[in-house]
Amino acid sequence: MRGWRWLAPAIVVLLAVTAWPVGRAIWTSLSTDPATSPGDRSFVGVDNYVDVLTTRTWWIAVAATLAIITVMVVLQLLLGLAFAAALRRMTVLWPVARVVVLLPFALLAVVSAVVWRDAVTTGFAAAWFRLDDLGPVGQLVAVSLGEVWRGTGITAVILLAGLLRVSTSLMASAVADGATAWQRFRRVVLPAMAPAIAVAVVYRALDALRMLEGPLLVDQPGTDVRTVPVLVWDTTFSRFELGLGAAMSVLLLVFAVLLAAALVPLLRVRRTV
Amino acid sequence: MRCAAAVLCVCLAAGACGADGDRPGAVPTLTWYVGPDRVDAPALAATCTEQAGGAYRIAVEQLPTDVTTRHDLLVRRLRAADDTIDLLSLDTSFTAEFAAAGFLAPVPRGKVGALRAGIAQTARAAATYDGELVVAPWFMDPQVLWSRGNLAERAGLDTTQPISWDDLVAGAQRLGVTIQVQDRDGSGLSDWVNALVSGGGGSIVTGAGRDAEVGLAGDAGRGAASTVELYEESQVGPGPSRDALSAFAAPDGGFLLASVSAVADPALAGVSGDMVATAYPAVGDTSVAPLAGVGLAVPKHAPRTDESWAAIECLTSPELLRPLMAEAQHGASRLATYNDPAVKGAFPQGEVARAAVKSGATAPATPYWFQVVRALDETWRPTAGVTQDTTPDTSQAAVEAAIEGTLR
Repeated sequence: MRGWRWLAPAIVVLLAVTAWPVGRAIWTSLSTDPATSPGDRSFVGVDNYVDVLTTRTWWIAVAATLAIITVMVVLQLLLGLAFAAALRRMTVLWPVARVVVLLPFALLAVVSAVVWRDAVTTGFAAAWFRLDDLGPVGQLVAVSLGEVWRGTGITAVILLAGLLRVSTSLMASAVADGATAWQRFRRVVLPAMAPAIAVAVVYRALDALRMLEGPLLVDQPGTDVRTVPVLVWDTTFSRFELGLGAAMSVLLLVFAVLLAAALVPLLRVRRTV
Repeated sequence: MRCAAAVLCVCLAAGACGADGDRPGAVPTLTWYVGPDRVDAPALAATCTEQAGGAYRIAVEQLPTDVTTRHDLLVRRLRAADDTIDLLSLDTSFTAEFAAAGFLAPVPRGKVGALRAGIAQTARAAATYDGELVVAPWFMDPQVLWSRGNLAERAGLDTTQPISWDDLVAGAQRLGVTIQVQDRDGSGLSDWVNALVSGGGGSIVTGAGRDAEVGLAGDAGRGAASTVELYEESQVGPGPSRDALSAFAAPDGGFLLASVSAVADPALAGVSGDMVATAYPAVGDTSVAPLAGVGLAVPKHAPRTDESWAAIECLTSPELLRPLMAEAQHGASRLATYNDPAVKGAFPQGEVARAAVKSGATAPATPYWFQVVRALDETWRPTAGVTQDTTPDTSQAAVEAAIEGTLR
């Protein structure tokens, strides 16, 4: 009982900043609520959810978002692992390198998105690769790659923490036992790194899921492919359809929960040695 | 620590004092938010400040040029009960939405008659919502057909009567010149489509609620799409464009569909002396020009509404409407201004503009017009892809979804 008393303030704050807005969003999602036409506001039950879930636009957005998450996480993992392996071998430059690798992450997401969009529309990438009007989808790919560039450093640092957990004596034993490089990676490195990989994957996947700045920057009227956060933004803050936007944001929250629920057990540490 | 406390005290004291205008005896400052029109707002503000004799002072703030950015910014600020806007230059296309949302302070009963008197019927309708005058009509800029020198004659066009789109396109092709369509702030396409549909005897939206009727899939909508298709197939221009004025001033520029005030734009300084205005091209027998303008409104949460309405009385007075037409080349909503001798010489396109104001098409009075504009942009752009077989139907579905508030 004494423990609860200490926990109570934290729980109250958590409820205030999480449960209240989520509850409010759920309540709003049960109405049609045009912000600039209060006379047309009415309770519609789950109609907004039915509307969203039966619309092609929504599922295209879900597919695009999932594709972006997958590609971004895989690229960041591979690049981050390569960087982490290189960083681990550094000696003299190590103090500088660990700061440099985190520099892209210090940039605001919107700044990175502008730079990467401009690179493929009017900048160096357009000149080098002779790109001619990539269109909104091409620009979406560019800003997603920009987010990969921005997030690779932090992924590398997380993976480096996992790599440092690999026991040097265990590795020496494996080499002495004649284990191949692949066997050493699978049986020695991966089990030690698994918690770090799990953190990196879940963190980067949820970060990619809520990515808004880049896709919003390259969004154009009539674009067929939009991400879910952009669709939520557009409906709520440009169309000002608050009920529909709230329904989408609740579904986005469910999407995030499902993603985390799928990734966490998938990446659970298993002892293979 | 003491230093920090002192700084905090100074900040709190400054905050408690508030702005200069809040001090007893100080002249209250009215902040007037203006759009991207050609009005010399600081000069008008200075004149009204002087005429007020210390009752108020007007400070001018600029709203964004892009219509979407301007609309979204105003909706967010007014919905958040922003009380720092005393006066607002409000696009006529926003009027119904802002009035329905309850963003606007009511026009004082005693001023309604004076604000309505002598106003063009289209401008009065654009300033009215649900039977009530909600903003003070100020100016209404119709679009006209601009040409350079005697180009229209050389193209074989009879400018004494409305020119049909077929003849205009054929004339431009014959001379190898372009037909530019102005899109100054992002509303060019919707203005164009609205005028084409109205010219064909239809209406994009009829009614104000969620169950409003959409008229794009009918004959008028197909006629509008067919005109856009004709324009695109003949390759006489890029469609609504923000570079239309400079393209018109280029050597191959021939015709320009733009507001009457376009002649005052710096981009046309080199050719403005040679520009001739004629009626907007006709879809059927009559010319229906796109009509857009500005009304003056007082937001609901403006703190000094009496002074705000006094300032509006000043800004809409005949003395200040004169420079609005003679210098900025905007067509005043008060038609008597067209007859002012000082205006007549400085506003040569007056007769064409007056006729266009009387017969033109404003944005339908629905709170969902801005959603309709977005749906039109999504289904009619790029204009090269418009066909009379498919565009009206897809656009009808998109506009219906936008008004019903559903995802498409």
